[in-house]
Amino acid sequence: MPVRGEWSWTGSSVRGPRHLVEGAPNQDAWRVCCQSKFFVAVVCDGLGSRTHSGFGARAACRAVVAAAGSWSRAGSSSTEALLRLIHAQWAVELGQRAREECATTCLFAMFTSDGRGLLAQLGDGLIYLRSRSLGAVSVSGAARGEFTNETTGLGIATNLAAWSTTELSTVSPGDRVMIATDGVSDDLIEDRRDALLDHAAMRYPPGVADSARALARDLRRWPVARHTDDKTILFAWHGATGVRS
Amino acid sequence: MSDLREFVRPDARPLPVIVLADVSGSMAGDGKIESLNRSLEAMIRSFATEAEGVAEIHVAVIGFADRAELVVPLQPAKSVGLKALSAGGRTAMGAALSITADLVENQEVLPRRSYRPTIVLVSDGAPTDDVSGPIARFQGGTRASKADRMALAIGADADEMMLRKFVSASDGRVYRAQDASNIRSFFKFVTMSVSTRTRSVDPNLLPALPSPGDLDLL
Repeated sequence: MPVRGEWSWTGSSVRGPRHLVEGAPNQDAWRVCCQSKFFVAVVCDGLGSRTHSGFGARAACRAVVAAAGSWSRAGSSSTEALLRLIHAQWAVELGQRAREECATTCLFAMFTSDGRGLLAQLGDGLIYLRSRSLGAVSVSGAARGEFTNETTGLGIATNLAAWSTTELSTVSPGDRVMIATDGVSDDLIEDRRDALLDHAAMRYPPGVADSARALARDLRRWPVARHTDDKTILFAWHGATGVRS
Repeated sequence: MSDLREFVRPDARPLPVIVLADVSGSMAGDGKIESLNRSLEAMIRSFATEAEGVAEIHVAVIGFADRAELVVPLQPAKSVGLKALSAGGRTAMGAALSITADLVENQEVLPRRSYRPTIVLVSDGAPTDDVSGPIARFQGGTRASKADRMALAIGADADEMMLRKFVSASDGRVYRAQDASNIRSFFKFVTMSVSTRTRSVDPNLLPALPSPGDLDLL
């Protein structure tokens, strides 16, 4: 069954107070690609201390989409092959820029036309899936640091073991996923994730022109003391959001 | 106000500072315990009024003598009401290190959204219990090994080698206070170091500060 038309999404990314004060650009990036054979949503957070991290984050988004396309066309390749493709494609996207100066986290969710899914995470942030058949699914493990702002990413990791991945055997209508950079995820209350997904479906419904703006507005009014980071969050729904507006 | 407030923690991300204070009998002499109490109080007061940083400084104090005790559970500095520590007994430093490692490894107490903690160990003697196991946790523990560590050896009887082991595998240093008057200098240095971190772009990075002039760097 074609994936196109099955998924809908709303996402926003805003500069944090530090970059606003410094007049610096947003170093987060996000991208969604929905084709007949796959749907992929990616969120990246360029590491603040690196010269070209914003460029690296945007390049990583493009790399994931390009790699997902090649990978899905090839048929039954492994997850490892997809991750290798992402690293290689990211290096191509960087051109002459040094990888370490473009370092970025990389989190993505990919769903294919044969009904399978993959959640993958390199570095800080959150991917959270609420599945009708699988329950709550998140990615954990080596990809995240032990404390805030301690992270790995493209341009830092030297082998695929730094990635954390969760393969999904089935994806069903009603499944919902959110992907966020650590500027958002570190402040989220863990047992309120499902409530946030419900809230997002009502407050930021896909296909409504003002949804992304409303989400951006709420991210700019981030209700946490002394926060500084750029903030990015993406919600995606399989089938109907389940909420009547 | 954001529509997202019911889904997030409103408090600032914590920057934990954990002080392990030797309150054994030898600390009762030469005004050491009095100086330690005054220094701790001044440090916590300074942290409590630190309003500019990106993190909120949290403090825990563990005293150790015949046994180790969590005198001040980890909490925002502005909430700490520190009672004066009194000295007496042996030097259960290993037990204090164990409590500290437990605390750092516990994500309920020290959540992942915290910045990397600073652990400060102050002692004027040698441990009277086993420290090898607890020290190993700071060299190999998942989170404890990442904590920043500083130590102060007070007087000539402090176990410098053990303190060096404690700070090893971190960028930490061991300082020596010749007498009680230097304890204050050390805690001023700790205060400056932590306050500088909270105001920096990345509070996980240790600032390059000159060592206090009246302390020996071991």
